[in-house]
Amino acid sequence: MGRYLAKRFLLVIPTILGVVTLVFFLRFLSPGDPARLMLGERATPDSVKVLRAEWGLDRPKSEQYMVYMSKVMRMDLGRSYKTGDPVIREILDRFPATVELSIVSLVMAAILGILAGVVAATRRNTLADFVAMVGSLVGVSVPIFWLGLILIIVFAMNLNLLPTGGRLDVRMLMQPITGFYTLDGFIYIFKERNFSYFLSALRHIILPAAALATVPLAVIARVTRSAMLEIMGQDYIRTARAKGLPERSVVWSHAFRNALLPVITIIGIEFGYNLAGAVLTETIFAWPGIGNWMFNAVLSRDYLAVQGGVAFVSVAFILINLLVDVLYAYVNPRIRY
Amino acid sequence: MKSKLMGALCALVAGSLSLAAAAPDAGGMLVYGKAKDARALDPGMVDEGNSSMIVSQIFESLLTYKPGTTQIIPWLAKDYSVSADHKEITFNLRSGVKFHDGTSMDADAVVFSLKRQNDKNHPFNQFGPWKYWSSKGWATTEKKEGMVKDIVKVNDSTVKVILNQPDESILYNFALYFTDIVSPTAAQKAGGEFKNHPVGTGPFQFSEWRKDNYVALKRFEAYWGQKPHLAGLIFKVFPDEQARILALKKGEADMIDPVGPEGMKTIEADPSLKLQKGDINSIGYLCFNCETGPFVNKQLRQAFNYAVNKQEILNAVYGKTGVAEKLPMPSLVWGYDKSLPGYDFNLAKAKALVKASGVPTPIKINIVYLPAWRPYNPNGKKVAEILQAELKEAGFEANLQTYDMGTYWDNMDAGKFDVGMTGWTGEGDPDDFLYSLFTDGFLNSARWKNKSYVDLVTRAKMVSGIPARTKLYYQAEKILLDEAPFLTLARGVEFRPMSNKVQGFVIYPTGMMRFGSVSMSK
Repeated sequence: MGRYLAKRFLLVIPTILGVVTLVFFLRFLSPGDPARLMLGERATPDSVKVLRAEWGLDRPKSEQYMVYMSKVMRMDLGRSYKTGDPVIREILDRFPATVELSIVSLVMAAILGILAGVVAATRRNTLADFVAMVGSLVGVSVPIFWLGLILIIVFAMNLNLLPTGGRLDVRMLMQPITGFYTLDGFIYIFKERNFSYFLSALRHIILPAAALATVPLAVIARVTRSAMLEIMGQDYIRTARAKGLPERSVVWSHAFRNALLPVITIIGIEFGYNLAGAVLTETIFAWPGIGNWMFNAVLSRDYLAVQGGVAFVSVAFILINLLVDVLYAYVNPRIRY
Repeated sequence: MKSKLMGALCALVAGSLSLAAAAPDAGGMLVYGKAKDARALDPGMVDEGNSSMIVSQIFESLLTYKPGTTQIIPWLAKDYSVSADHKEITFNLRSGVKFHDGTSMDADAVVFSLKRQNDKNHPFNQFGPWKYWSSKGWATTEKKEGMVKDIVKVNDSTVKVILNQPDESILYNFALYFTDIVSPTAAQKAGGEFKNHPVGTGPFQFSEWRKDNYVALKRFEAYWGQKPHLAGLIFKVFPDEQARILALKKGEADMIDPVGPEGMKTIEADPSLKLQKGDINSIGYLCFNCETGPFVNKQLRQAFNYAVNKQEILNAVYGKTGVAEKLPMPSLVWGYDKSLPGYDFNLAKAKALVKASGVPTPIKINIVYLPAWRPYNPNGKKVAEILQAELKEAGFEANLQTYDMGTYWDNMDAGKFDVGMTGWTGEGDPDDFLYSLFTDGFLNSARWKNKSYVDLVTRAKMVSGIPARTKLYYQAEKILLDEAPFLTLARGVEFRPMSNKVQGFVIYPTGMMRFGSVSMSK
C-alpha cells in the first residue's frame, strides 16, 4: 500500500507538468492581450508595449515557457496581472469557500442520491423507481442558472426563509478562523457564546449547495441503482434471503456495501469537479469561490492566474482520486495494492 | 399662565421634532451591491469603476467636483493658482487634515503621493503599475516627454506642480482619484501591500477586504470635513445581475450598480425601491476612418450623418438611458456651442451628397461594433443593425463585424475599419473631448487630421479663463461639425437603483461616487 501511494504521488509531478504545459500553450490560441486589458481599453500603444515587456510577453514562447516552468518548480505561481498579488494567495483566499460548498453539496447529493438509488433498485419498475429516475434525469438536465434563480425567488423572496446569496450576513463581520464559515460559526458558538454566526453561515450555504447538488445527486442515484440491481441478482443475496434475513439487512448490509464501490468512484469524481469551482452557482449565489475567480481570470486574460489555478485544481483532483483509491481498499477488503 | 406655558412647551417639542425629522438619520451600514470586486485600493493603481468607487471613500484629492456638476472646487487644497506661463500650478493645502493613521496631511504627503507615480527613481515607484501616469502620458517615458516635469514642496503647506508644456486643462486631473493623497507613513510601512491596506484622509476608513466577497469601511471619526452620517459602508460583490436585483429587493443590498432595461422595469415596479436619475459625462459616437477607405471623402461622411435617424436609435436602443447630442462631447461640459445646427435626419440630403461625391453605389463599407455594454452604448450590435438597415436607403451597403474587447481596441487603433463604434467618459473640461479625441493622440480613432482644428484646441489649453477658452472651442467645434469625422449617437444617462431608505446620494457626471453625505432613513 505504502509503495503504491508513493508511486501515485510521484505520478502527480508529470501529470501537473503536463497540465501546466498544455494550459500554457493553449493561451496562445485565445485572442486578446492581457497588457491591453489591464491598462484599460484606451491605453496608449506605447504603454501597452512597455507593460508587455515588463511581463515578458514580448519574449519568444519557448523562453516564456522556460521562465514560467522554472518558477513553478520553485512553487512560485507568479503574480496575478490583474491585482499584482501572488497567485497562490489569490487561490488560498478563495479555496476554502469552494471546498466548503463542495462538501456540503456532496453530502446532500450523496445522502439523497444513495437513498433514491437504493429505493429505485429495491422497488424496481414501481412508481418509486419511476419518480426517482425521472427526478434524476431532471436533475442532470436542468440548467443551474435557471434553477439557482428559481431557488432564490421561491425560498429567499416568496417564502423569505433564506438569504439570496453570499456566505454570511454581510453586516456580520466575522473574522474567519479556518475559512470554512459553517465551521467558524460553530467555533464562535463556544468562543463568543453567539449562535448567530453559525446559523447565518448555515442559512447561506443551503441554496447554493442545493443547486450544486442536483447534478451529482442525479448521477449518484443512477449509479447506485444500477450497481444495486446488479448485486441484488447475485446468488449470495438469494442465499441471504433464503436464510431468512430481514430484507433491510439484506439490502443495506449485504447488497449496499458491495454496490458502494462505483458509488464512491462517482462521488470522488464529482467532488473533484466541484473543486474546480462551480462558475454558475458561484455567480448566481455571490459565492466567492475559485470558479468565479478563474472565470474572471480567463475573461481578463490573466494567464498566470489561470495557469496557477488550473495547476492547483489538478493537484486537488489527483489527490482526491488517490483518496478514493485508498477508500476502495477499506470498503472492499479484497482490493490490495 | 399655565396654558401659555404648556403651549410654549408644545411648540418647543414640536419644533425639536420637526428639526429631528429634517436632519438625516445618523448611523447604519449601507450595503452597495456591485458586479465585480475591486482590483486594488491604491488610487494610483486604479483605472476602473469597481475600484475607484471604494477608493473615493477612503482617499481625497487636492481638488474635487462640486456635487452633481463638472465644476471643480478646491478640496484638500484650500486654494490654487496657475502661473502666467501656465506651466506651474501652486496648491495651498488645508491645515488640520489627518490621515486615518493619525499622521498629518502636508506637502510631504502630496509630493510622495504624486512623485511615487511620476519618478522612476522614487523608492515606492517599484510597487506600480501607475496606470494613469504611464498610460495617459503623465510620466516621462524613454520615448516621450510626460506632462508633469516635477512636483516640488515649497513649504509645509504649499506644493508646486511643474509642467513640461503649458496646459490649463490638467487642473481637472487633480480632482481625479489617481492624484488622491495617500499616507506616506502607511504606504512606506506596507510597501507593495498598501493596495490591500489603504490609508487616506477620506470620510471612511478601510476596515476589511475579503476578496471577491466584500470590502468593509467604517466612519472616520476624526474626519476634517462634515462627518459622514453612515456608520459604515460595505461593497458586496453580486456577480449576477438578476441576483443583485433580488438582493436589493430583499434588503440585502441598499444600492446596486446600474441595471439593464428589464432590471429597471423590475425596480420601478417595487414601491420600496427607486431609480435615481443623473447626467453622466459619457458620449457614444461612431468614427469614420478618414485615412483610408470611402470615408476619406468628406461628402460621404456628411451623407452618412444625414442618412441615420439618430432619434430612432435613441428610442430603440438607449431608451431612457440616452440623450441626443450634436457634438461628440456632452453638452454638460462648458464650451459646448448649443447653437450649432448638427446633422438632423434628412434622407434627401444624404442621397444628394452621395451623388455629389461621385462614388458609385452601393458603397460597400464595414461597420465594427462594440462587443459589450459600455456606459455610452448599451447595445452595439443593435445600433449596428439599425445603421445597416437605414444606410441602405442612402446607397451604403454595410457589413457588420465585431471582435473580443481586446482585439476590438487593437483593430480600432490600427484603423482596421471603415466605421468604428466608440465613446468616451471624460472630465469636466472640453479638452478631454475635443483635444483628446480628435488630435494626434491615440484616441483619435478616426485618424482625422485638420491643422486649423489642432491649432485652436492646442491654443485653448494655453489661454487662461473659461470665457477666453470657450471662444476658441466654439471655433474648433464649427470645423469639427463641418468635417464630420464622427456621428454622435447619444450621451449616457444613469439610473442608479437603490432602496427608498437611501437619502442624499448624488450622481456625479464624471462617474465619481461619494457616500459622505448619504444617510439611511430608519
